[in-house]
Amino acid sequence: MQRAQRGDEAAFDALYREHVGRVYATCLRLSADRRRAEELTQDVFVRCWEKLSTFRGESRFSTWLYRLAANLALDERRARGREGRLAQAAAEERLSARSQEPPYGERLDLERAVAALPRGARIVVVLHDIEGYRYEEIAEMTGVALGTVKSQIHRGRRLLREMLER
Amino acid sequence: MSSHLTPDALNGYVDGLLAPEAARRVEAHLAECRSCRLEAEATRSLLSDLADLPKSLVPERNLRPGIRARIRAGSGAEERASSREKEIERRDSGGVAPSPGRVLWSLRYPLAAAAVLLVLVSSLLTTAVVGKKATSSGGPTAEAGSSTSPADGGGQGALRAAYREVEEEYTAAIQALEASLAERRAQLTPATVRLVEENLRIIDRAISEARVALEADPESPVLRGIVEAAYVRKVDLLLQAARTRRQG
Repeated sequence: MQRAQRGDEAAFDALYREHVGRVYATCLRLSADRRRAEELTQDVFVRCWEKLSTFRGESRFSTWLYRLAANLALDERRARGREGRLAQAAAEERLSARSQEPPYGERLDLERAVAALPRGARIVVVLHDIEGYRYEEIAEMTGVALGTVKSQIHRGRRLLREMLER
Repeated sequence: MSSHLTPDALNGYVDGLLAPEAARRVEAHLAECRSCRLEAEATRSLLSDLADLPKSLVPERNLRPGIRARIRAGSGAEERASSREKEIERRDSGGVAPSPGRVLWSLRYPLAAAAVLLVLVSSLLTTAVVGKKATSSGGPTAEAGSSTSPADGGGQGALRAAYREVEEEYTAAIQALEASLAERRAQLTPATVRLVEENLRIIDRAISEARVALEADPESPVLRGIVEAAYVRKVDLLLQAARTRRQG
């Protein structure tokens, strides 16, 4: 870690190898887009390299890095603006239409079901139920009220159960 | 029995976030209400499945070369340049700001290195494939100047099987750097552009020769090393070119 902070690329490569899987998983689940998750993962490690000298060790490095990954993925969602909102509206429309269809012959697996959640519910389910962040932390990270976070977790869990029970 | 639990109460209970007294009230309700009990059990089961999802997933392609290229080409690259590069810059500039001539001269390092690389690749290939030629009717033939894209044909199956990851790794980094260089092309002098293109032709020829040999002998670690060395040289050249600006 200290070597990486001093600009040693080989040491940074070791950090990359140790943490890339977890960072990529976070980015993939938050973005629900494989290609975007790859780009975000690269963004995370580039930003990590740039900010590494400011890491003072108040928390574990892994905690700091995974929080950085989540924040970048969330920023990206916000930055997509209108395009993102339209895509999200279309996704929610599909989900709504699906709920009125007869049960699927095949069972959706859990990973795909999480990816199919509406954006707000997916973010909260991923951050709370998979990544282990507290509701208060999620409210701070996403910039929404605590009550909204809790209503989204309820919605997300209910939708997941509906999808998985089909 | 009172009405059903609110979502807040049910999720709070399942998450273990309720105060002791509130938790006892929920438990009392669950003892009497089958619907809420099933709801709580289903939510617990879902949370258990979510917690069991893998915390780590492997990207389909190697992202490290792209990260490395962006770090080296990025704004912090100068401060983090290796001590070797800094030493070369200090030596060439005599401690002052780099002159246009020095920038051009700095590109002659990879040019010389590229020429050495080609000679090295050719001689190593001769050694590495000589045995193969004796036993194979279709021995490798160097195709100077041919494309080095992994998308081209001919023996590609064998090459992909043996070397796909490394090839994709470098190809992705090279594509990113070529795009960056294309954007900055107008900032380079014609002499610099010519120099860079000459370097690239030499390196591409080395890569091409090494790949042809590797297709014929996909399991050879020596040939893999030669191909990778040629790719590294190309990445280094593109990085250096991407950092060069017109001066004077």
